[in-house]
Amino acid sequence: MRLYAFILQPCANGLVELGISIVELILRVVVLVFFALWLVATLLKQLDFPWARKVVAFDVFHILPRWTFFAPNPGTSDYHLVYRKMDAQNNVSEFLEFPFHERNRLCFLWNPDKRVKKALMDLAIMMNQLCASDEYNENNIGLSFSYVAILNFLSSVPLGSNTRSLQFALLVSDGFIDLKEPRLVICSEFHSV
Amino acid sequence: MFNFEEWHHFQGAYFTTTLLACIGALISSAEYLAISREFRSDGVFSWSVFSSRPECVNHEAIFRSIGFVFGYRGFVTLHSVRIISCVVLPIVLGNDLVTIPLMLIVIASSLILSFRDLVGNDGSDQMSLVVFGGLSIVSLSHDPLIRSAGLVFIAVQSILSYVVAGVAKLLSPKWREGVALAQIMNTRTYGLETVAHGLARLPGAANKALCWTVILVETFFFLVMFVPSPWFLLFLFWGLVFHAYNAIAMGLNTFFWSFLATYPCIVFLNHLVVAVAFQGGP
Repeated sequence: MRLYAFILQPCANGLVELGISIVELILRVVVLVFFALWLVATLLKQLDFPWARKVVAFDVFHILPRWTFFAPNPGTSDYHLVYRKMDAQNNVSEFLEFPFHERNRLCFLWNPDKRVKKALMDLAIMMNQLCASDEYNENNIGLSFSYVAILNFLSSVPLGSNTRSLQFALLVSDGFIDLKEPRLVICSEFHSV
Repeated sequence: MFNFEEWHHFQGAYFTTTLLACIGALISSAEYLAISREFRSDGVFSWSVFSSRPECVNHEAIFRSIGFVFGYRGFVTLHSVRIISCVVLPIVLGNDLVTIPLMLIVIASSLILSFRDLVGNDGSDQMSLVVFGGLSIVSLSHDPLIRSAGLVFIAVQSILSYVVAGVAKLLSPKWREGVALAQIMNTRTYGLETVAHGLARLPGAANKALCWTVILVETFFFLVMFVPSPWFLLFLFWGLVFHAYNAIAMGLNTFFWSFLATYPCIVFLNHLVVAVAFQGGP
């Protein structure tokens, strides 16, 4: 009775004054809390603290964006994916480059190729990070996600019927005004195709 | 084309945001369908490879039973349904019977695709997901407070994106020293050869000024909430030019639509804040 008299009754009177029902009030609170949590979690993701990383690790749908475009370390290098083929007679071809830097003139309207290029670039960056880490070496790098994904992608490139195996390499360069020689990130073994 | 004053009110801002977000999502899905070959088992977006991640391996039984959603046919169906939804949504907006299912289709497909694609997604996909997340909740309710909250949420996420990008640049020595822009534009991935050579010929002070313009406008973008009309439109005009340049010079075409979709919500928020702060109520 006390609960009703001192808490629920004044609340109910307040709701009547606001012109909303208790269900509407609950809905309002739920939605506002949902938006507030989404914003706070987004903010945490930007801060990139170790404890915050644990909180946002549950975000499997990637609803928490990371807004640090081209900063603090902007991408100032180009990755190059090259591959060569070996035929049944063990003849090895020249290295061929997969073109993932070309853009058409109407790319500001229609640019479907950017998806493939972005995916390959993400894989190249992942591979570069793996090669720089202590966790991976030449024995286990072939089991990494990025290595398998790149190899799988190259298996779809037209190779010719006589091709028996394939080798790829990733290189990094500075861009149009190239001051340094391209650097090698990784060169794979020959893999049967 | 647009009357800014229409965005002071919920209906105007809601309609224009939905329209622009739908254009962006439509282009994005059509682009994905144009490269659908890459979603086959030997493509760069192969589900056979993507499903080797721990969360899929650890719940193998579940992912085997719903694998058809993520496979090639599921991908084509998902994007086709998404395109149809984006064409129809702006036409039927306001008719709850049609709007709510279509909004839910778009947000559900965004979540599925965001989960599926470990690589290849960019900031425009993330903003699109945020915008449709807000719009979906708005479409479910007729409560003025919930509807306003949805638009305010989209606006705050958009403002946060600029401010975070600005602060991150402020912390970067390359941006502060004025070399970042020239180095980014020098890459074949995001740059243009003519712009790269042009920036290389500019004196260091000019490059520094360009970098600091981006840093300052992005960092102080939160002022767009408080500056009275018409001055706050300068921020939005800068954003329009910035995203148009990024689309033309860098090929980031979908960023233009997904970020522009948030601008009516920013106008809505500005009107709300200025009305409360300076006039005592909206």
